[in-house]
Amino acid sequence: MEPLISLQGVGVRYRIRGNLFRRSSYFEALKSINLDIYPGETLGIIGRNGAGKSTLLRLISGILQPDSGKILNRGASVSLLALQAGFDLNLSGRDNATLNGIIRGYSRHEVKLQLDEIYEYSELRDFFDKPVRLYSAGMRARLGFSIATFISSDILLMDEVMSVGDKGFKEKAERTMLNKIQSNQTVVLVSHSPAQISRLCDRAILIEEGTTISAGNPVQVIKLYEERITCRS
Amino acid sequence: MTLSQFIELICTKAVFNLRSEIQRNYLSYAWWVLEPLLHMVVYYFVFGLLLQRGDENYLLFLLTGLIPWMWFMKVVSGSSGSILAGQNLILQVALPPVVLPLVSSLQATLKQIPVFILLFGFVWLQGYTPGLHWLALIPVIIVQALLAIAFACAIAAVIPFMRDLAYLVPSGLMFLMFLSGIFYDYRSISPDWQELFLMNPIAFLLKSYREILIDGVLPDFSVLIWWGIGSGSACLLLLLTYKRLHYLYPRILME
Repeated sequence: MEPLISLQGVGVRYRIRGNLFRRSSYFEALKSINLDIYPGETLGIIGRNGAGKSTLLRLISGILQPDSGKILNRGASVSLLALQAGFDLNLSGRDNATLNGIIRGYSRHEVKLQLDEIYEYSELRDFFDKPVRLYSAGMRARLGFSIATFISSDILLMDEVMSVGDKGFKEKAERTMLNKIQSNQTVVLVSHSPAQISRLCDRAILIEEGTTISAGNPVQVIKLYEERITCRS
Repeated sequence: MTLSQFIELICTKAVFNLRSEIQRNYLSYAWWVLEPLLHMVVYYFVFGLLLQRGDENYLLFLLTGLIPWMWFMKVVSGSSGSILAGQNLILQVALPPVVLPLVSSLQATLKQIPVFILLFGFVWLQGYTPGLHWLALIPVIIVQALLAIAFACAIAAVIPFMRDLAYLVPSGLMFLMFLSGIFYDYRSISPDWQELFLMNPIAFLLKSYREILIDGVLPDFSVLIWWGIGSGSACLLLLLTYKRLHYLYPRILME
């Protein structure tokens, strides 16, 4: 099977801006990443803070271009969902859902058709029409996840979106993810929870200091991740 | 992204931003009219009463310059930092960065619509009856919109690369304000300087508004069309530049 997106030896280097008194310096966020994303799979990305996970998601979603290596996208649309992504705190959940959909390339009419389902799924009830600034962190996460569930692209990138929320909603989110996996939605999931990766993903990759350390069976990748964490500590 | 998606995104984001903005204040929409009125009161007090400039029509003269100027000023100042302010969005979605200054420009323009309607009503109440010559306002407004968008997009494009420039925008706008003949008639300056003075497009546009609304004559279309072509070409050039720099902005914003 041909991958939807391939990353071949991809590297990203950021400049740290200098000023009148300090020179600019550089920081290598990704050194060499090799990765294929296949249609219908759920790929887990695991790694410590600062390993380069967010940069990797920005590359996959087409926000950034690499400094070295190559990215081949075979026509897949990608959307990145992070917690509270782009929410305007003064707008209601409904307005934020509409805006989010339009920003991700949907027409207002298409988003409108999904709003009732987002409302139902998010379980926000009356809060759905109240400003997001009144929401708790869990409620915002529910809104974010609900938007991603109904306004998705060929590849859905989820950056820690399932880690917040009450136990009931977390279970519901996981069930939805499992349904998506069964319905052939391609998902790339970033999570700090090894258990979540092994429960939901078909394949996982471990990245460390901007390099792919291991890719393959989630159980084996997680085992290696835990060993490395134990060694370091 | 298709053109219709692009336009829908800009319009929806601008309307939602306005909705968000009015949520923050008790007087909400009233500020759109109150703010220009407060400016008018201050300038009328200083230039009309204290400095005794102009005649009994000075208030009308002031408003026909001040309100179009405030539209330009708000578009440029609101958009200048829009890419920096939209950092979160640019780092979350593969969004064309030009959307951000265009949204801010539209947002500022929508807020000026009721103010312009009040201005036209005020001119009419002063006995300057609208006639066919008022149709000439349409090209003047279009040229001003193109000019403001060109300035807004150009400054917004440069500021992420040279952030210190943001500090110069308010001073630059103030300099332009005093050089555009808002508080004084361009005919009151030395005839030797008038031609040069009117090479400032804002001064020319304010003169055109006053010719239509107060003098009841048509503006100089031969000059207006050149400003229209120049501003339109600048907008197109800027769109192409933004397209070329698309992938550079997320990098610059992360520095």
